[in-house]
Amino acid sequence: MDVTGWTIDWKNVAIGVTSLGMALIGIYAAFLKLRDSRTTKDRKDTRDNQNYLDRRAERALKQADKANQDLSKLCLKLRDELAECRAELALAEIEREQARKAGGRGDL
Amino acid sequence: MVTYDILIVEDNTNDMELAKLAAKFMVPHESEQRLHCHTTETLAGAEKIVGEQHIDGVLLDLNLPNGKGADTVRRCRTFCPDKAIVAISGHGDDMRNEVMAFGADSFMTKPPDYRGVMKELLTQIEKRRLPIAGLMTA
Repeated sequence: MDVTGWTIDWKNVAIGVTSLGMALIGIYAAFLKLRDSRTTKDRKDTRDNQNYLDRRAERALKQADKANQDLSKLCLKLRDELAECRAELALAEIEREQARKAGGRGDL
Repeated sequence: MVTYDILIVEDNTNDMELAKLAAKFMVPHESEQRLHCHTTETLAGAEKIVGEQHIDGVLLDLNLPNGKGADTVRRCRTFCPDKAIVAISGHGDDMRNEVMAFGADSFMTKPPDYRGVMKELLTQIEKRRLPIAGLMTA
């Protein structure tokens, strides 16, 4: 017994410290486990997200390719129509000039 | 003013006369020519004219003294690779695919409507004049 009237039971102190230490170790282990599980989940989420982005990019690429092909076809079609219109216009102008030269009305 | 220099390669006298007539009819007067027409009866003559003159398009008969069938187009392409070629055959539509494969831009059969032929030739010339290179992915 010391001056305060308390008796220090070192055995209980040792048990308490040990229990506290074990509890802290348990908490730390739980913390590590939780952190690992979160890391695994994050990785899975990241992987899923990456797969999703890859699929979306692939789909966008296909759509862009199809749009490019459609645009090319449309341009070629318009080019052909424009060429035909220009040829018809040239012939019409030549024939109109010929008609005017022959003495008829130019717009016939 | 848009002008066209065309070359008619035809050994059949009647067809040549028709072509000349069509070309002549389409020339308004000397000072304002839109359509310059050159004529020859052989592939050798065509090669000579193409080498010496500016030509936009060729109206090519497929039955010449020194050239028969689709091979005429192949040989014509060797000396005018970048010009419009409209091939005309008096033997029906049988060789259309072969003629187009050898590089003709268009194929027509005799007896042709010469205004239609001229329009087709001018259309093919215009197609080559329109800047659309690089879009041939389709």
